[in-house]
Amino acid sequence: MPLDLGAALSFEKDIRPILKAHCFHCHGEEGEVKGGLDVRLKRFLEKGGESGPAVIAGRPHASLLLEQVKSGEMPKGDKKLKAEEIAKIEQWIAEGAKTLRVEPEKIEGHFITEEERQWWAFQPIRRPQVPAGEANAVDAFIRAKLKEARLAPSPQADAATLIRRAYFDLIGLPPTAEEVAAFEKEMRASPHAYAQMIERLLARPEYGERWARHWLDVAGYADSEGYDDADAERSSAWRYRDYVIRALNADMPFDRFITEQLAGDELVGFPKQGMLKPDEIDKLAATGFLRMAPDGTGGTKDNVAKNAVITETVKIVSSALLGMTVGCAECHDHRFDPILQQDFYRLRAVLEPGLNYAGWLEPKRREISLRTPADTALEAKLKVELDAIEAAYKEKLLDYQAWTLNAELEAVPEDLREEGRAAALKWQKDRDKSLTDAEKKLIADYPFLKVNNTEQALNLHIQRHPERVKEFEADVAKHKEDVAAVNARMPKIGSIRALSEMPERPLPATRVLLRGNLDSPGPEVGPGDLTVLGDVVPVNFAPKDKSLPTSGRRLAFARHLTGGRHPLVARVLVNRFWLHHFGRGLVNSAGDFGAQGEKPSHPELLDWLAAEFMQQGWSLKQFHRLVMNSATYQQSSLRRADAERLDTANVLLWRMNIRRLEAETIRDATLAVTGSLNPQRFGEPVGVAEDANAQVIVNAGANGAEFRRSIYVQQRRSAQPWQLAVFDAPQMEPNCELRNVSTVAPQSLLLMNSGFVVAQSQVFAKRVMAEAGADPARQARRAWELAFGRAPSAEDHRDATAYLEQQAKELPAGSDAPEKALASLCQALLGSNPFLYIE
Amino acid sequence: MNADFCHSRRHFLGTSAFNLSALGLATLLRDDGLLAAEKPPLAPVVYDTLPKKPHHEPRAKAMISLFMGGGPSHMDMFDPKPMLNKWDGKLFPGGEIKFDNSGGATRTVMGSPFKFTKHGQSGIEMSELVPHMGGIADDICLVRSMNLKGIRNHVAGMKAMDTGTGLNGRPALGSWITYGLGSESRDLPAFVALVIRKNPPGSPFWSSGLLPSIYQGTHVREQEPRIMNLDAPDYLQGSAQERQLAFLERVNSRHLAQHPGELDLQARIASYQLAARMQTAATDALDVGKESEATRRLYGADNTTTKPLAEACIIARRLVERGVRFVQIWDYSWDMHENINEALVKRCAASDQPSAALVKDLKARGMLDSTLVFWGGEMGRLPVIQTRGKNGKPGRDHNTDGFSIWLAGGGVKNGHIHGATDEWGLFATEGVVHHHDYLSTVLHLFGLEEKKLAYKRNGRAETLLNGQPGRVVTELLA
Repeated sequence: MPLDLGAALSFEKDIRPILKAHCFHCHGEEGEVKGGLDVRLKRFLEKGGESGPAVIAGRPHASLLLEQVKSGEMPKGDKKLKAEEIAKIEQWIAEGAKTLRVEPEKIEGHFITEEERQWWAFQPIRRPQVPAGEANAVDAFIRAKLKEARLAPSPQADAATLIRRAYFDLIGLPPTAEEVAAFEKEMRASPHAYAQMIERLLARPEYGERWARHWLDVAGYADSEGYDDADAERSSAWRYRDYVIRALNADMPFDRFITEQLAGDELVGFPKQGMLKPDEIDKLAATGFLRMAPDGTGGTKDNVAKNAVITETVKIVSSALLGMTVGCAECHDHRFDPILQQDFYRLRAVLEPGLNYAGWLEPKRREISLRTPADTALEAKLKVELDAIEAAYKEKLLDYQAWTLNAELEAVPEDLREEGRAAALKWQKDRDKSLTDAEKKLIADYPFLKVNNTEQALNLHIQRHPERVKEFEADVAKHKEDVAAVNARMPKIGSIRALSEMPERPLPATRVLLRGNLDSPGPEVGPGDLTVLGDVVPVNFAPKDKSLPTSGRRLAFARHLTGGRHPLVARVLVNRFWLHHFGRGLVNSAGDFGAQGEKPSHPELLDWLAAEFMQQGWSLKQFHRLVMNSATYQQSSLRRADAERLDTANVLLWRMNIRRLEAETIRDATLAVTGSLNPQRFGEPVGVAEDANAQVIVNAGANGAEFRRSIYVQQRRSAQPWQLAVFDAPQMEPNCELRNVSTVAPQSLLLMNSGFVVAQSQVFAKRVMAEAGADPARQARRAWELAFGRAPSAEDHRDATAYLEQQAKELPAGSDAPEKALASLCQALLGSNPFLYIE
Repeated sequence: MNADFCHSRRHFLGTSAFNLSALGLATLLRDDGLLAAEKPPLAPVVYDTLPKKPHHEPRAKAMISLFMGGGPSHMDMFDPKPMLNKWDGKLFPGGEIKFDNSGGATRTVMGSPFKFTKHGQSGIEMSELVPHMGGIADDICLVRSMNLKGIRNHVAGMKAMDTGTGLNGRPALGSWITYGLGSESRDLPAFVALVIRKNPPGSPFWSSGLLPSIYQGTHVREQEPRIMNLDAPDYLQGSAQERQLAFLERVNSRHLAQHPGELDLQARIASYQLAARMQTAATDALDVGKESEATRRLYGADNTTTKPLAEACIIARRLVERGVRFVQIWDYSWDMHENINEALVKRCAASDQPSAALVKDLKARGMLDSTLVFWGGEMGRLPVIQTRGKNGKPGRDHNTDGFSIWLAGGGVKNGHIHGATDEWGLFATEGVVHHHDYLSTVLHLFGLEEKKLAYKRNGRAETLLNGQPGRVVTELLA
């Protein structure tokens, strides 16, 4: 393998990362020094182990290290070194085994090298100078790079493309044909038309529904517990979903958004159940973020399940906010990034007072009731009303009882009636207790004398006496109605699935679990962030904020993350926002800013965006304005041969990327186009069920609720609707940082044959007929406009019209053939690439 | 790495199921230099699943992998260890044991209660748990020396066996093979994943990773409908749907003409064509009822215990008969940390007969020579007791340092034992086969060289092993 021979290799930059990935585990880490050899410093390598020095500077072929890796003898564990890695080691020794600086005598505890500290993502976010020459800073950075690569940007896309792109990006729904037409006119008339269109979209309530979906992916939102096959439902998780939608619609600053999700309960102080103010309810709902991990503690009491909840929550929090694969450090120091095993447990210590083994609340018991004093008062008042109704009814039943006994006595021989009445009344009082033997016999002979005063018993007696049946039944019904009417006025008291740390509890000790084993607790650690960030921002938190009843750890952590100096949080956030606008992040590996991920394509732009985001008050809507008003965003997506040769993958953004709609967006857009979309917002999700073909579907026949947007469909881990699963809707195990985009035949089969698509196509056809009448040419045009937001080209129109006419002719003769033909056209359009892809 | 090989896959998307679209024709003519290009052609690479020539003469044309996830216990089924019974209940006298789950871990040796006997002319020893497999001893190549190079847990282990690394995002073996060789069937997916019981953790294992998504496996379910939405809707029965799809393809083709070179748009068109053909072909291929009574009985499809795997195996054979390149059956039910001796009896009762029947049936139909069968998981188990769970009945923890798998047909030796573990079944010691070696060997049997089977992405040639050393284990080859 050819190597860059320009600069001499150094231990820190070139050799240590190889040894760290392959060798530290047995030779240096956690006090493990197999064969007496520690390879963490060049000094140690020269000193060597039991077999003598591992490295002799300048003499690669006398160096044991090289011999061992070359022969494949080492490393024993995971994979062997690559040829190029071995060549590097050889070259480094040959060059004299250089280090960049004097090494320490020994390593105290864990050691992070200068080179690791210098990794780009750990550097402070500084606001770079914007390159000159462009009004929009995004354009300035993007075009500077394009110029370097001798690439020209692409021209602006046409108005119809722009509005469709903006609609899907911001609200996840297509513009109507009328909106497109109006926008085209405005674009011709006003230079501000585009910016105004963006503003209108940012103000729409559907905006929050669209962008909440992105956030819920990284939060691992689910309406069920997962963990085991039972996959119990989470009845009130949706309040967290609604919190996210509302927060995004209100453009809640992200620093506050994050703080509330991590520490809403600590902001409230220990919540006083029964006294919650609306603002406190929101903050508690926000902590649902920390309740999203798969959770088996409702089914099993063991610590394995509890430990899994805490571990998964650390993974969610760290991947969502730090963009690093911290989860890899659960069992050992991270192999590729300077994330120490104890860092994983320092983050765990942040959460552990709230997710405490002692006083663990299994899912059902952690619900915080939303009862207010007014609720309690109203309940008491209604209880009085109910008591009155019941008392009056009881009186009435006693009257019936008396009358019924008289009526029943008619069937007893006259001479026995008085005796019978006496016996029956005694029976009413205490059953058999005070009856004489003769009376007992009498009652046994005439059992209908046992007239009880319950509604059910009286009903049976009265059925024998038609004259009062109607009256009795009316009274029964009236009583039922009266009770129901009062009950209907009872307050509906919901609850929140919150995380609320118990106050004044002894704080749990968080211990490093050696090799991740629950049964091997190691040293205790305190709360903190990744050690490697220590140069940029303090990573340890004050043990206890005396003003709070709780530990204050999560609140301190949230303030630390959002204080403006954290190098990862803002970069990770803006990169994800960028990803949702361009289909690719500036850091392509949105969930991994470490050495295994990809480096940023535009590091200066990323930093500028992060700095700007914070300066603009952590406003996401401001970010949209900035990006969407750039020429870069508004570029055409068409490929150009010249640019294609230089940058096939469009990393430099010389054009817009073509993106497939996500699973939920395909479903929502279909409902919007056919006119079926139910705009009902918030609240309990619409359920899912299996249809006759064992296909999981959004519950049909839910009074139109099945046509709500996909974000309101129950997210049951074990029962994902097939139409969403097949288009790569994520399985939350525990969360999703980057969705897969696949193109497989089962998707096509769904679009061709599924009950949902077929039914929606028929609805679509009815809509087209209502709006365009019976003429095939007009129908084809209207269907096209509704599906794609623009008129068909002449060729498309001709083809669609001819198709309609031919299909109607060839379908089995019948008055509905034209409607079926139209439905089949509508279906084809809903499954076509112009519908499924954003240009 | 190999420009010619990449170049050779520049085809049009295969002849359309319906009409060759105007665009397709134009592209073909232009590619052949018959039509003057009005603007510089982008020369997009088109990916398809048409049959491709391998690098060298292949031994296997198709593969059926019975992936028994969770870790079948090699020392109870395939790899007799008398030492365990001698030391049963005593402390393990050897060195370090790597436990994957320290919960309930002990160093107390556990013997195997299952009797081993020699089978067939080859005399391969297998236990009483798998008598049917004993019956095909002379047809299989038993590898007793698998080792995952330190990868320990299930998800990473299954990914290692299937993709060459324990990390996420790499293409599955089935995706690489269909990328390299395409499919002999135009009507069925080239790569099918049949899952019985539950999805293995870390699924899907049939993802094409960084390869274009047409090389992704198609998931077939255990119950009907095995593939969702296979039947045309009532209102479009007969030729009506064909006309509809032809219209759709014209719309998509005109759209693609405006975006030449967009791989996903091309793949969507191809996926509709495949879906249309699958409607008839898959319905037939997946219909176990079309098999004779005798065949169904051979596999155990008539018995509730064996039925799930039996039907999966029958379908796998039917698919391969129809030209499908790679079928992988996933049965993640072998992880036995507790009560292993009872659990194994049940699991083997459900798996033994169908697995052996598949090999017998392929042989009887003359398909075994060209079909490689794999049976095994991502790990075996430890020679010591693990006690976990309420009843305290012992289980065994994971062992990725030494375990057994078997191969049959497709150019491997038959009646052959390769490699060995130490006397405890703890480490593979002789003829060690790492997952990289196994994967290289499979590719070799298909006539593919791992280093040449490259996919260029962002200027980098990606291969299955991506530079990790893997050896074709020639000792396994017939």
